[in-house]
Amino acid sequence: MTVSLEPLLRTHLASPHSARVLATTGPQGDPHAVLSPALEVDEAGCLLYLEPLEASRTQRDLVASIWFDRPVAVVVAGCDGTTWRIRGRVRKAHVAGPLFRERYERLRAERPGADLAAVWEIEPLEVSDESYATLRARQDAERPFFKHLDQLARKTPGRRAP
Amino acid sequence: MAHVMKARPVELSLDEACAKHPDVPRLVVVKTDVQRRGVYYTDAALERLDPERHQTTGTHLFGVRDGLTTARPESLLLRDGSSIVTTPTPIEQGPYVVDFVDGRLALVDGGRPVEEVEYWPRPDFYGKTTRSGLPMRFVVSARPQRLNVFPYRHCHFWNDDEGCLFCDIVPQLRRGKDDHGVPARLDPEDVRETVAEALKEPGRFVGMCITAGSNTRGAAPFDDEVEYYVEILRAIGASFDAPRFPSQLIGTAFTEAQLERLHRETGLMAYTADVEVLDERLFGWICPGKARWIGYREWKRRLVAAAKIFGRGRVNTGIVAGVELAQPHGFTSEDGALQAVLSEAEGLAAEGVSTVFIVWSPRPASALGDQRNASLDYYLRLAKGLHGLRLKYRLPIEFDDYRHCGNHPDTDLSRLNGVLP
Repeated sequence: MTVSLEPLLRTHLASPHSARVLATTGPQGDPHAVLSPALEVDEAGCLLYLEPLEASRTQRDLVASIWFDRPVAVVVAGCDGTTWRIRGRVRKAHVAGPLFRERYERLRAERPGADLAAVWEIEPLEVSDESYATLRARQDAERPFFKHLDQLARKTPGRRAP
Repeated sequence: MAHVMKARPVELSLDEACAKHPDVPRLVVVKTDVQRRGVYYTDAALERLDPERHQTTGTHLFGVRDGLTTARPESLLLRDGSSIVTTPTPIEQGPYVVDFVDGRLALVDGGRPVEEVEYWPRPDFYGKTTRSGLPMRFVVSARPQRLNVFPYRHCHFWNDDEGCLFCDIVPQLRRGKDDHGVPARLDPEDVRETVAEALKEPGRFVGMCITAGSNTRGAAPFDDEVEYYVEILRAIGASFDAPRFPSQLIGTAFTEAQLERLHRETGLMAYTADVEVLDERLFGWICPGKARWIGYREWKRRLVAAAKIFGRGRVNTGIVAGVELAQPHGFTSEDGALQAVLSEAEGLAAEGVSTVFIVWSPRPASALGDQRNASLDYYLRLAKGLHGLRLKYRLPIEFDDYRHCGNHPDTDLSRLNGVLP
């Protein structure tokens, strides 16, 4: 079931100032991540990832994902610390046709030496707010045993209650 | 050559085959089974075919199982970016059905949608003509990422009634001339002009394949074939700055002198000579022309010689998988056939020559047209076996992979290889 991406997340996905990571696993389960992947959101709400190299580890991992139904993760973080994790299903590789060509031409116009191996369609299945402030508040509220005691201690110890 | 086949034993279904081979991706299993059984297009699917946006059938060297030459989708793209080179097949033979389901084109089997597909996009040059007035789509054809040049559509083995028994190149040549006006022999200038036009399309093509029928003529046998390939490859090479360009020639098994000439005088990067069936006895029966003019052992020796000229991982041979089970002379068990084929393929791999397969599609105009191909389980075991040999002997297959061909389930599996030395 595709989930929709909220406008603020879309804004951060499109911003060059955001940090973006695409995390994959290889055919044998070995982890891999690529920093600052070229990502966009299409009209249907799917992520489009532009893979530049046919021989890259990410390209190979995405093949393994589409073949063996393994999820991938995209992490997006804004300058203010707001962070999302998108768990996605690799749905399709565009290697020819109008969508591929449009991206290829745009990429080559921006960077004449660039190449494009495939445009991968990633269907968002789950989006979670992974911002530190959100996670910290949730942990404090729901997992009280995880906190160090010094953080709970009084600045000035009181007397023992009689 | 009519032969009544024994009833086919109960075979694994698609789901059962996937369960039995969890290491083969379902998309590759689907592709293999579609190649094996063929496709039938519903009216709803054909209504989605737009000749302005999609490729329609055109300049095939070989025919189809339903014998029709009407315009239909050239072939199909799968979600993983690989192609299925399809064979339209009469509905009564149990092909997959291509239908329009829930807003998408889909392969349907037994009324159940199995996988979504797309038609191949039409390249820009298909709407143009050469200065000689020939439609460019009759000069060069396209796959999603590859250009095909079929410059000569006759095979001289047929002159002596020694064509390969699975092949229908000459009947197809007659159909092409009659139905479309496709010339039997291309002018290299038309090829040069068309390739130059095709390369104007950004991001479309990553390689090209040149193939034709065998031509025995010349001072030495096949010299005329080599001479013509040199002309064609030079015409193609005029479009490139670099002396070599990603290209594959599928030709007859040439002598060292002929191979060296091709390598020296053209920009060719990879060479294929299809042995068709990896068994000496069956080669003599199924490929009588190749057997008489060259011979099985010499064919293999020339492949090994080619690997020394073009390099390891730049030479392969194709087999028409399943034809080794054709009767009355073929193997009588799939286990026996598989063992024999893989053993022969290993001998070649050890010498730097890959073996790739296409699924045999018995076509009515061929001598074996009334027979059946092998089981899905057989093809999956063969795909794993051939892929495993390439891993064992560290043979890259990039010139004949899902982008550069798309018709070999075994080379699809190389997409997970990573980098080979």
